[in-house]
Amino acid sequence: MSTGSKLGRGMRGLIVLLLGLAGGGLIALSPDIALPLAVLLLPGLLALVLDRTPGCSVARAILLFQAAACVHPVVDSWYRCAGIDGCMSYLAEWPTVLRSWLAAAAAWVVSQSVPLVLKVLDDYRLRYRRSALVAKREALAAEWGLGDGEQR
Amino acid sequence: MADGSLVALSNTLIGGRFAVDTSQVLADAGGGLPAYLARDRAAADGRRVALAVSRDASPRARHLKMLDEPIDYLMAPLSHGIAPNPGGNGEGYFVVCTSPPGPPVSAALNVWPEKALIDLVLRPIAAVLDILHARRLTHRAIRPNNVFQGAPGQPVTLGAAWAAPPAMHQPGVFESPYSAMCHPACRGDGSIGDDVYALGVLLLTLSGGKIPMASMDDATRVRWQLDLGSFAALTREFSLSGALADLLRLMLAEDPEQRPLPSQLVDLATTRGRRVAARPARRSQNPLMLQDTAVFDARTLAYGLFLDEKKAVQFLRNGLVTQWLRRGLGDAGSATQIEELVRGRVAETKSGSWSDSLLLMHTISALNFRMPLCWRGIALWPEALPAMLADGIASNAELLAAAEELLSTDVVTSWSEAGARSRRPDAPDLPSQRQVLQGGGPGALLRLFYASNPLLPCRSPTTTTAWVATMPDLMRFFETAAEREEDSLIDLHISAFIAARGDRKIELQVSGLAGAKDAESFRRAELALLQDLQARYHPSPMPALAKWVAGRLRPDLQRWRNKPRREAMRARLDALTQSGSLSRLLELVEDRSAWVLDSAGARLAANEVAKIDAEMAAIDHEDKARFAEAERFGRAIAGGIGLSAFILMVMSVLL
Repeated sequence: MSTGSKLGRGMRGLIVLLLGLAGGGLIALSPDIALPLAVLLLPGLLALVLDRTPGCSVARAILLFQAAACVHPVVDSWYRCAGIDGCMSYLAEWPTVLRSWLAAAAAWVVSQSVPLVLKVLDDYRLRYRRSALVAKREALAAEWGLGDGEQR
Repeated sequence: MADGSLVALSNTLIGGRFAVDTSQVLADAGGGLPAYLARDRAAADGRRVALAVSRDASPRARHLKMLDEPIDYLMAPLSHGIAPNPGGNGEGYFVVCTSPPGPPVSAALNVWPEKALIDLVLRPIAAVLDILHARRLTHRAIRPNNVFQGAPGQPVTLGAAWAAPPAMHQPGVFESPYSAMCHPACRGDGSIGDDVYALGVLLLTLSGGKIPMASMDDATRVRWQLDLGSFAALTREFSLSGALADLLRLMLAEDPEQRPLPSQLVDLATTRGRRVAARPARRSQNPLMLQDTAVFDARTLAYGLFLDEKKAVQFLRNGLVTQWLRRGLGDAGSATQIEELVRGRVAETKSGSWSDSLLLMHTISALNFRMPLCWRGIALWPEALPAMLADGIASNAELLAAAEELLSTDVVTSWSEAGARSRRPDAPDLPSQRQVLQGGGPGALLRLFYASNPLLPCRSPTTTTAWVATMPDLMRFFETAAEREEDSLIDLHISAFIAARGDRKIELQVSGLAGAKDAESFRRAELALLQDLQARYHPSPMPALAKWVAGRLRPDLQRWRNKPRREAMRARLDALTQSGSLSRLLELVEDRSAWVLDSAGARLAANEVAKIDAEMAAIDHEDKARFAEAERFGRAIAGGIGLSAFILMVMSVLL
């Protein structure tokens, strides 16, 4: 528990550091792209603030999904827009924002549903295992007369 | 059906020859014992006599073993064995003898002429006694109702004396006073001189046509005989010719060694002129009063002391007896001897409660060395200890207690050493019997009883209708008793019986049975003993006993943990029961190596079940942990998908 918490805190700090470096670098290189990019990554940044899971795993997935969705718009804006207004009007238009935020939503859905699916699959496996164990136990108890009253 | 009846008939034949017809009672043929008609299937004139043996009184095993062919003028034993009792009331033991020629002479007690007495009574019986004497046997049942005559002028035939202990049924008058004063079961085989004495009394009876001293009770008669001498006492009321009187004086001599031998009686010429060389007993003018009896000599004093033990000890301790001996009788030697005995007993403390009895026994022996062993008011000859034991166990607690004391101590040895009694038969092997009694546990006395009375049956309450006298008989009884579904077949009597009549190994097993501390160990020891008994004494199948044993072994199958194997063993046990072999049943249930394997298997199975229980408990209780793990893993997967998509997008831009 404590090891996990330390790891989570370390990961969280590392992500914030990387994001800060990336953000700082971007502001330094192209301050006109940085602002609209912040708008595009807003759900991920908010998730980073609000996420309490170890290592900010949900926020990390959201940011990675959004980053994947923002690669083409950012590269396009690098060559086609100039100035904050221009970049804002190019990058922060609704289709782009919507695609980025949907990616965030998809990331959240995936990060919530995959554990459930895994749990359901594990439960199914264990139910099968348990019934096999019960059958084996009953067979042993019947053969050797062992604790019939304790059968489950 | 016919075969079955033939087998049943052959089983009831004694010695395979003699059939006992208990519906035909021969009233006078047994000399006082119940007698029945027996038929010899191997003889044309097959009429024989079967004498019933009492369960409480042993027949004379040595005589039955040594006398197996007819003897003239004697109802000789031909065979002996088990046959159905009258009315089909269980089994009895019968001694088959040759038939008497007619009724007993007691049926019409007449005065016999002297010549007839000599030729028809004395000579035939003396000839019989001579044959017995040659085989070191005695008869000890010569009395009017046991002497038979076919017709006047015919020699008499001596009846049987084999179906009861020696002299047990003798009227006291036909016994010398030293035998008559004994308990009837305690008279012992005696010597041929005792038979000569009884023959003398028989001659006297027939010469006068009446029984001498018939009006007196036993104690009075014995006192008279001791006081006057047997000849004088018995012939007081008879008028005898000189020759007959001389003969009877010899035959009724107090000292058995002075009585003529049977061979001398066959030829009377050798006895003519012989006189009894007896020194007259010293008599006192002033009698010693023992209770209301006046005692004049040492012989009657010894008898008087025997009759009242308590008073006798009192008189001995206060010196009255020694004082009378010294001053009244003038026998200073006896007085000194008895004073030493009294002093010795007072000084000796280890004898405890036996001190008085020992004192009295030695005093009586010192006063009259012909007296039998007198112990706690019972007179006996030591060779009669087996019969005494049998009578005591049957009905006489006082006799039993005395027998137990005599067998467990060296009283008999010290009594024997004190007097010269060479012509009496040897006493039983007392040291070994004492060893059995001291180390044999609660059934030791019974074990001695069965060992010393080999023809008497087991006295277990369960064997009252069967005559179980040998190990094969016992196995037959077990087979019958097993059908009654009793809890246990071997009780105290039967275990003592087995120890006494089985071999050494069986005896050790019986000791183990007696040492069983609880019901379970007793059950196991009992089954093991039954198995060994069958192996040794009855190898043929015993289905009923096997069924009984299987019933007792069934709980043992619960020890086997493997259920299918247990069921298989149960079926196998039932199948083996039909074979009637106890050893196979016990081998099946007590297969040690298989049981060890079964136990090991049970342990493995228990461990396996424990592991399963632990795993199922983990499945039941670690749901949250597994969900947390699934969350971590699922989010890692989501992150991985995002990272993969990001890399693909970057690569699609760069390439």
